[in-house]
Amino acid sequence: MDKYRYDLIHSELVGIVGGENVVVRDIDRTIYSIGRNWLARTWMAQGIPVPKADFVVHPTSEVEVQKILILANKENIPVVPFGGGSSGMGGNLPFYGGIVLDMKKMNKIREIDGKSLTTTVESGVNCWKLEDELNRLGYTSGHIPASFFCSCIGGYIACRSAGRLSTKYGKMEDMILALRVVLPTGEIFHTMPAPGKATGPELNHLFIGCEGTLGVVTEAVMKIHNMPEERRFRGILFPDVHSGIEAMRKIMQNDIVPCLARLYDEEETATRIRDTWGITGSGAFLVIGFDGLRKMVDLEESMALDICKKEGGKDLGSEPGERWWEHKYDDYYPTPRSVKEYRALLGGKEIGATSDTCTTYDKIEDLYLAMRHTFWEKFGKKYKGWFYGHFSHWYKNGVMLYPRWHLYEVPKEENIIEIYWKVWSTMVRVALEHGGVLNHHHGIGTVLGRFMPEQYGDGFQVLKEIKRSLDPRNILNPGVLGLGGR
Amino acid sequence: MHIGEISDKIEICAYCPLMCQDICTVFSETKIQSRCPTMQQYILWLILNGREKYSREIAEIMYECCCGCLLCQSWCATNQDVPEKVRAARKDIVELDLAPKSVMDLNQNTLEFHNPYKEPHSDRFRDIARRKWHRRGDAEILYFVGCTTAYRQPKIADAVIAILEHANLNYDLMNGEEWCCGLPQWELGLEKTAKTLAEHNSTHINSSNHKIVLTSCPECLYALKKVYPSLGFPINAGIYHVSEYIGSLVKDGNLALKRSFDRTITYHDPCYLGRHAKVFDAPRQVIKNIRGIDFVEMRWIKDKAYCCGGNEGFAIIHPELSATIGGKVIEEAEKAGGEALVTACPLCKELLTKHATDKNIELYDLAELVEQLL
Repeated sequence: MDKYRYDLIHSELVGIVGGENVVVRDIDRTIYSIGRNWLARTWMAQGIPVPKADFVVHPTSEVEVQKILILANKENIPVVPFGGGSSGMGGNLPFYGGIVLDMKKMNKIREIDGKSLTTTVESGVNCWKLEDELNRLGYTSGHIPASFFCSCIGGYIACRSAGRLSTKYGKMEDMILALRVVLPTGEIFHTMPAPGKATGPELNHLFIGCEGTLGVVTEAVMKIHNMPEERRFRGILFPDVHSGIEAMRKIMQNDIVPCLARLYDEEETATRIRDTWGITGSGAFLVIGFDGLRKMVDLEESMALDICKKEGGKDLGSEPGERWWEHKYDDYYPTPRSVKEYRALLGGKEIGATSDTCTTYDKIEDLYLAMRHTFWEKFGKKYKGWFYGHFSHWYKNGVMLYPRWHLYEVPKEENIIEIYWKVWSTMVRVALEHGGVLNHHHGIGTVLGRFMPEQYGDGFQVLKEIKRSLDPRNILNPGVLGLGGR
Repeated sequence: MHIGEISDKIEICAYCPLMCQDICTVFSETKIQSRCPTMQQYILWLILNGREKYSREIAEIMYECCCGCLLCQSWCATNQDVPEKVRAARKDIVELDLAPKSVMDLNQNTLEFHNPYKEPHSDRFRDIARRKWHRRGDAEILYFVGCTTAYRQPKIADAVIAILEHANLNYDLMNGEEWCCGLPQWELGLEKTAKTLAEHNSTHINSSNHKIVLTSCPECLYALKKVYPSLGFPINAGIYHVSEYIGSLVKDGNLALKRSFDRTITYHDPCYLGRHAKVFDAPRQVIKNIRGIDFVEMRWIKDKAYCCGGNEGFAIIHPELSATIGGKVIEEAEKAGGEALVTACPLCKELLTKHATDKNIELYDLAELVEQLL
């Protein structure tokens, strides 16, 4: 951007949001251009310059968002909506410069309606702060993801987020009643907060999961719930993953609804579960929880335990389950012990990621085995590493698989970034070949966008045409969702 | 301490997936990514790895990103001390002569006036001299008044002296020899000045026979008790916050709170008294001994209490940001149903006054309230 144009746009932005809400310091723009993306951090570690935004702008109202998008559209400059910054999928990085639109100052909780059990919030509200306010009044959002303390509602909507309690409370697409969205050309789009409707397609879903490519969500009406009278957790140890999946399938298909269920494969049980939660024993560990009215919890827990026992599960009691819940975030915090791994990973010496996917019960075990087998045969043996996974976010028809992989002996003479992309491509294609989807709840970002045509085939044209229609100059988050860059 | 000496600790925060981002007091107000603990430490990581160099821009961020409240540590599964890491960066920045003008002005004011507020040293006890003191040179107790109490909240000192008088205790003040405790300078990376102040104050305190040093400012408490030994200037006396001492007087029956106070009271934990010095219960015990009160707790208390606006150094170099932060404390007090909010820190009182007035909540330092009830 030449100096004349830069000064002009800067002046316009300052006129819209005020000087204090336009950040242009070089180091700030660098920070917004890296986030938690492995590739960007690796570039930084290797001294490779990252593409930077020209401006970071903090709107404080929908009108300001509208004016910014009208300006950006007129000037044909990219706008990257930005929430809490927790994305590891490159969904919020300003690869084409322009404006990073940080929504976090739009953080008002406008209404909590205890009669209808809804809350109306601006999209920059932090999830933990919303949950804290709801809890104070006796309610819960039911949305407790690992990024609880940094992410905001707009980001969750953008990525179709799932929290720890999604098996009962649903994913973000199940939690939204209505949205207000500023379209790329500046018009305001809104839906009605009615729980049911027969007024054409559900247009909320055009923007839930759009990752900021079709509009900027400014406000949402969300469902909330009464705080459960009882919430309790248990640990179950199954002989293997197969018996654990079968037990959970039967639980779900009998309409018993745990608030939480996580089944760890044998490898994860023997490593992460042992190291973080001190739970020992060989097999597949399931942490399962129920909440709601005490009598219902008693009944559901008892029925679920019966099913687990019939499938060979050993009831470890409530203590391991409660311990798991209490320390559910602990291993996200780097420790002096784990820092070596982070150092290698974020220093660009090792690679690792999570290729979460989801499919139906008839395919899930084959999918899991195929991903594990492929990883070990193609990469794990050669570069040394680990692979494990767990099954969480259960549905009546299927379950999410959360396979995590890591390679820690990549020879210096090999290009680690190339290997990174190769592993991703391989894992994703194995998932697609076995009936899985590209992603379950992290979003597609720029990391997986290129696979969208492979997942949807000719149907991807529908999304491309919607994008072309709503955003003719491709200003909103270009390069994300496989919709094409600039 | 320089960042190179604690690179392993900096890495831990730099690699963290933003787990305390919206916990952070400063980030919650500014909402700028470089102000959150993870990304501020990532900037230091870039410096340690030769990918960035200290600059005026980075210096500005390092002085704005942390108000020293330590709230992040209370939520951190690995107990990281972010203010320690920021202090190390600030020390580097001062040595590289890149510190913002406001910081160097504070330093110069301290050296010239012995306080960071640029108030005449001769006026230090001017506003508390109205009361008739019964000081004794051989007193067991030394009351270290502190800059914020002396220059901004002298009524708190009045109250402390009244309580000491009422309990018929032998006490003394340092008079002209009391200089700033050095905590603001220490927090801002002005370690040379902090050492000068520590040496001066400790030399004078240790040259007398005081067995107890009382402070009404939690920052003074932390400086004298924790920072001075780390700088090589330990105090040879027991160091207590006034709330602890009043608590023991009340508990032992040496101080009776005779009058009733018919209010719903809540208590705000000052960061340096609570999270830093771990004094949580003493002020509460004093309050609970007051007749007629209805004591209610706010939602987040003790080690998870919200910050009133940062430490003294932060409040002086970022007055507008600091003044904004405290609004949340008063909102919480209101939500808890508090008609009166009690704290135990002159800076908390200073920073919360406007917000409390706006919400029509009575605001007291613990000593002020106790004095009224004697």
